[in-house]
Amino acid sequence: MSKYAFFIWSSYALTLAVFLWNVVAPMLQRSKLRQHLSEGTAEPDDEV
Amino acid sequence: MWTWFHRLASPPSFYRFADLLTPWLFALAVLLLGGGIYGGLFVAPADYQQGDAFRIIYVHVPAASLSLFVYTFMAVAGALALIWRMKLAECAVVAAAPVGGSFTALALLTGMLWGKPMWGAYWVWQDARLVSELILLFFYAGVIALNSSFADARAGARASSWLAIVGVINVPIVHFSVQWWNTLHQGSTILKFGKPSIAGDMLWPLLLTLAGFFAFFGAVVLRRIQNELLLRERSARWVQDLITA
Repeated sequence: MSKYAFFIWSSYALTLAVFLWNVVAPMLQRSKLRQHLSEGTAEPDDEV
Repeated sequence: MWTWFHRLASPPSFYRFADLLTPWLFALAVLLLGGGIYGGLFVAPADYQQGDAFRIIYVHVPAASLSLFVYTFMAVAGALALIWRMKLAECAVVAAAPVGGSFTALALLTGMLWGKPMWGAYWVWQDARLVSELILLFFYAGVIALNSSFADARAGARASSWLAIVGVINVPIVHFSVQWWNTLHQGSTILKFGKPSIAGDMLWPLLLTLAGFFAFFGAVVLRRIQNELLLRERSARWVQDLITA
C-alpha cells in the first residue's frame, strides 16, 4: 500500500465505523423502546 | 399478487416479514462484503496511474451509489405516504434518512481521502460532483430535522416526505454532474451506458461490495422500520402481545 496507506486504511476504518453505527443504533433504539413500551411510558415524541 | 402486497403493507405482517428477512440480508451482506473487500485490497492489481490509492473505490463507489439510491427510495416512499397515506411508507421515509445520511457522509469523507493524494486537495469547491453530493447530505439532514421537529409522528413523516420528493431533483444532478460540467472528479465507472471502464480483475470486487452495501442497507432499514412501527402502533394489540411475550 506504500505511500497511500494512510488514505486507504482511513477510508476502510471510516467505513467500518459507519457500518457499526448502523448496526448498533437501531439495536439500542429497540431495547430503549421495548423498555418504554413495557413500562407504558412511550410518548409520540420519543426518539427511535 | 396484489392481495399479498396489501397484506404485507399491514404493520404486523410487515414486522414479521422483516424479522424473517433481516438475518438473511445481514448474512448476505457479510459474505459479499468479505469477498469484495478481500478482493479489492489483496487480489485486484494496483492501478497503473493511481497505484494502490484506487483501492478506496471499493468503499467510495458503493457508499456514493447508496447515497443516491436511498434518497430516491425515500422520495418514492414519500409519494406513497402522501398519496395513499400508507403508514408503512411514512416509516420507510423516516427510517431510511439516517442510514442514507451516514452513507452520504461516508462517500464525501472517502472521496476526500481519495482526492488528497490524487488531486492534491481534500476539497475543491469548484467541483460540481463534490458540491452536489454535499447538498444531498444537507437534504438528508433536513429530512431528519424536519421529522423530529413535529410532536405528531405522522405530521413529521408527511413533512419529511415532501422534502424527500422536492430534494430528489438533486439526485440526477449528482449523477450527471461529471458529464454536465468540467470537474476534477472522474466519470462513472459502472453506472453508465456502454461497457464498464474498469478491468475485470478490478471489477468483480467492486460488484461484490456494491451488492454487499445494498444488502446491508436492506437489513438495517428493515430494523429501523420495525422500530418506527413499534412506536406508532404501541397501542395496538399486536405490539402489546409482542412486548409481553
